[in-house]
Amino acid sequence: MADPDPYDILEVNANATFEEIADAYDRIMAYLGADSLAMYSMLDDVDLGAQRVSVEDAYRVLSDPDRRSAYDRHRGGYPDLLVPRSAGNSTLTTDFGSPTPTSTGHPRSQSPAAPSPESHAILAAPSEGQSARPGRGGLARPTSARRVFPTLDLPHLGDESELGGADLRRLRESAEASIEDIAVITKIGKRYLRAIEGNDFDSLPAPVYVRGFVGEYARALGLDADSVATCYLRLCRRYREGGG
Amino acid sequence: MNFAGSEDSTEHLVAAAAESALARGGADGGRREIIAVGGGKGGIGKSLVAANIGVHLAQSGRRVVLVDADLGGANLHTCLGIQPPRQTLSDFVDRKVSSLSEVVCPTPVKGLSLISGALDFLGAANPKYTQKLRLLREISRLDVHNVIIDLGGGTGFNILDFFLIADHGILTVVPEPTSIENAYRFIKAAYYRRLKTLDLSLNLRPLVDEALADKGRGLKTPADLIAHIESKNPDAGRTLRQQLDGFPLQLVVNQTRGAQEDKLGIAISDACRKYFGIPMRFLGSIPYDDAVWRCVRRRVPVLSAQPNSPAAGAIRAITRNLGLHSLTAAESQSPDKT
Repeated sequence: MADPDPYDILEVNANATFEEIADAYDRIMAYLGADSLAMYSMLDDVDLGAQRVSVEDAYRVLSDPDRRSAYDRHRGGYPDLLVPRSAGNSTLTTDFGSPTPTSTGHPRSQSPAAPSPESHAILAAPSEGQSARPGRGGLARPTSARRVFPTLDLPHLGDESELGGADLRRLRESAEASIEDIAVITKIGKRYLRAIEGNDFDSLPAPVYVRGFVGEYARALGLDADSVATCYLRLCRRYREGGG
Repeated sequence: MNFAGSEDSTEHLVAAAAESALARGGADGGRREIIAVGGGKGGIGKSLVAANIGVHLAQSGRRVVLVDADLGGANLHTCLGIQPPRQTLSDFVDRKVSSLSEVVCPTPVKGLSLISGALDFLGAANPKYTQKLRLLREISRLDVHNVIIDLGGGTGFNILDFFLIADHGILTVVPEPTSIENAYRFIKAAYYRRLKTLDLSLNLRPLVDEALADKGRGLKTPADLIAHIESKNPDAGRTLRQQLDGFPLQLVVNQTRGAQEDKLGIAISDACRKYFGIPMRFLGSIPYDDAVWRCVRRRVPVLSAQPNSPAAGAIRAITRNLGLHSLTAAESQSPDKT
């Protein structure tokens, strides 16, 4: 099934400005937000959670010019947060921007700029336990600084495979990424990221949220978000059906 | 007062009301508009809203009649500071009087009259559905500019039918989950009631029944229902969507405290449009105001006794937002009949 169109989700035109997108997000979260009475009894918790996740995802794409451009180019699919470099280079980059011409004519022959402390400060992680409201000030325009992760040794995921938090942590560590790095990229609170890695299922929210969180985590590492999330939820479901 | 009659009688009922609407010539040849105030829950201020909208319209020169259809819980006479009238709605329904105008009584507000439901209690009478039909026709023919019907709580067929014949159906809520839950229940009930009556002309009963039977298996909202019907019969789905545009749904949020609750009305309207597929106009919020309970205690309308209070100002704004048609010069100059 194709990913839903973020423009449709936020009910904005394809040429909407950032202000229009932010206003649309605010207006939708006014009734979808956790504190709102407007949705009481209209949808059940699972559907409500799914709606919130889809709105958050849509805003995350459309409020970031590079992600939005990448989406508009791809149209119909959310772009991976990380794209592989050309052959011969073992690093991954988060660069969605237009390739910068270099003296060699190859857009990615340049080494990416080392991340500056300011860029990490701008892309601040959300508060613990709160949905990642990418505020207009909090979600800065992407800068030229990008964190680069090494290529990962990807596990094979079959139809019945389970993938646990320890696997995700191992993959993250082999990518030389910290929990903070993942929190910055995904806007997921570190509390939930630690719970995911620790298989602390009792501390995780409803499955619809967990699927979203694990998918974003996987995407940040350049992994297949759907496969990883499915395999993780398989483990989670087994735990919960077993009575914890 | 329970109106006997099968569910199928609703089709005749609403069709007859529709005919009445076509002949709904108001006072002095202008167009009479009917306002119904409901909410699905008791004690949230429907009578306050109905009475004070009536006061404001009367103060602006219109002839208005309030109809207290909250049988068993009639309060409009108390809100207006008059004793329970001797002749009430059930006298007309029971044919103790031949014309509805015989049970219209004056109020202290010039231009404002009342058809009271006082002294009537549930089960006092059991008219046939033809009585309800007659009542709706007579309401539509009253010689006034506006009829305002104060509905009771709940989602009984009587309440829904009165709501559906109105030009302006006002849903009143307070910022509490129980009120909002009841309001959504009311909206769905009214919508499905409307859907069943549309089936007459579109011959969609099997499709609608099938879709309604699927509720809970993916068809959780009216929007799901329409989408399902549209997938089976695109023409029917398109027509149903057009009919929904005429659904007379408007919202008032009463007893708001603070800016966040003032915004609740917009949030509810947006949510209703998006997830029910039903457009809803937000008319405004009425702030929690001590002036209101003081006036209720004194049995006077807040618009009369405390016109400068925040609640009174809010009700005036809500009335303006209804978008009632303007009185013609002839209508404005006609002598009052109180």
